Amino acid sequence: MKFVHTQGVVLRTADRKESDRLLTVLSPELGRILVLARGCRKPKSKFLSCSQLFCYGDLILQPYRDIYIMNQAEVRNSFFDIRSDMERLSGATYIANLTEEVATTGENNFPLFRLLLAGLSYFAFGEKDLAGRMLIYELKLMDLIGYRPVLDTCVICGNHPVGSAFSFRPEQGGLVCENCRGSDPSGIPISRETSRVMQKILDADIDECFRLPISLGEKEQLNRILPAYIEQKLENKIKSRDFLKSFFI
Amino acid sequence: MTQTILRARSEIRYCSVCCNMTDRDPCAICSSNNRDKSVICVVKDPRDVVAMEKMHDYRGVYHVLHGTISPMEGIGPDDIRIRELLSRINDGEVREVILATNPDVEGEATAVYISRLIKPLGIRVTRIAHGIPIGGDLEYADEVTLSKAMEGRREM
Repeated sequence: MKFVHTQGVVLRTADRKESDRLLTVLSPELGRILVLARGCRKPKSKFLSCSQLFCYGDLILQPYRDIYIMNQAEVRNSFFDIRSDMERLSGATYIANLTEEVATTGENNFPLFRLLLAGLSYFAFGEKDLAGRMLIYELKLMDLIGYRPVLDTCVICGNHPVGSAFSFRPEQGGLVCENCRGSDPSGIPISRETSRVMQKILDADIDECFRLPISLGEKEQLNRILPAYIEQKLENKIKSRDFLKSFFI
Repeated sequence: MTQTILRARSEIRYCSVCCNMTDRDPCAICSSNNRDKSVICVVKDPRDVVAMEKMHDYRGVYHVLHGTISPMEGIGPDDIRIRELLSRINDGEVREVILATNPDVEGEATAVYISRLIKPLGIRVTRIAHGIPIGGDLEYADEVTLSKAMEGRREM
């Protein structure tokens, strides 16, 4: 019988039958997979703790048709503190939803897995500015999946942007300079400072980027730019982002 | 059989006090004189009331939320029966609220959310204990369960 050893983070759970649970798991080697944890809702099940949302662990899985059956599991980190308030929970849920949306089945993606772990760690143990960390996660994730915004040249004229007031065009995925801005009413206003912060986040390593400070004004601009950019590129709106508004946007 | 299902559909409603499912309003638990109305046990759904009643030890009343706050499913605080719980508490008489939502991510977060709403009212808010289930195996318990079990240890 063939078994697969991997690591995984639970992105979504759905109860099945009397005591089973179907987990959507992100694995660095296998990408987004479905794992059936049999009997995990029984209080004495050995899979009880590792079938919880956001749980990160070592898994031994048995392939079965299009899914995997959980055979053994050991928790590495349950990110327990995410449940300590609604702000942390809604932020962590959003990054899990976003990651689930972009992850593909059967494709290894170690950087995405690393980003998810860093994001969940921040939402579980980070002390300040969770709203800012969420924006960093969004930008970094778009970069990782190949949608790095163009910030060093104007997406219309191709020149280095001059001046201080630009706009961001989600369709083209980048900045529009002050000169071309007049002919582009659909762009979202963005300051030079905000574009610099975006560049710094994109250039930073995954562990470093979450430590970068973002001012209130920059956050306000990024809160308009990033959801529009994500919706444009993924052709889908992540519903749990609306939920965040009631807590910290 | 069909008649029974139809009758159940037409007669079963929500108790106006605890929001549990009932065929008479208020339900048998809320209208009982043997129940301590000053202690409310908050649970996720009607099945949890049945589970709690099996222990034959709890003499307080219940409040059924009909769900937990879940950003994943888009269920916010206004979508479950938190408002009804607060208005019940504001009516007076309540001394203690026991939060008995499931110890999963959403159940915990809902319990924390409710406790933050109720605590400023000066009412005692308690959470059901976490730890190793009776007959369970320490080997299979994760570090959080073990640490919660240690945290809640009692002198023998």
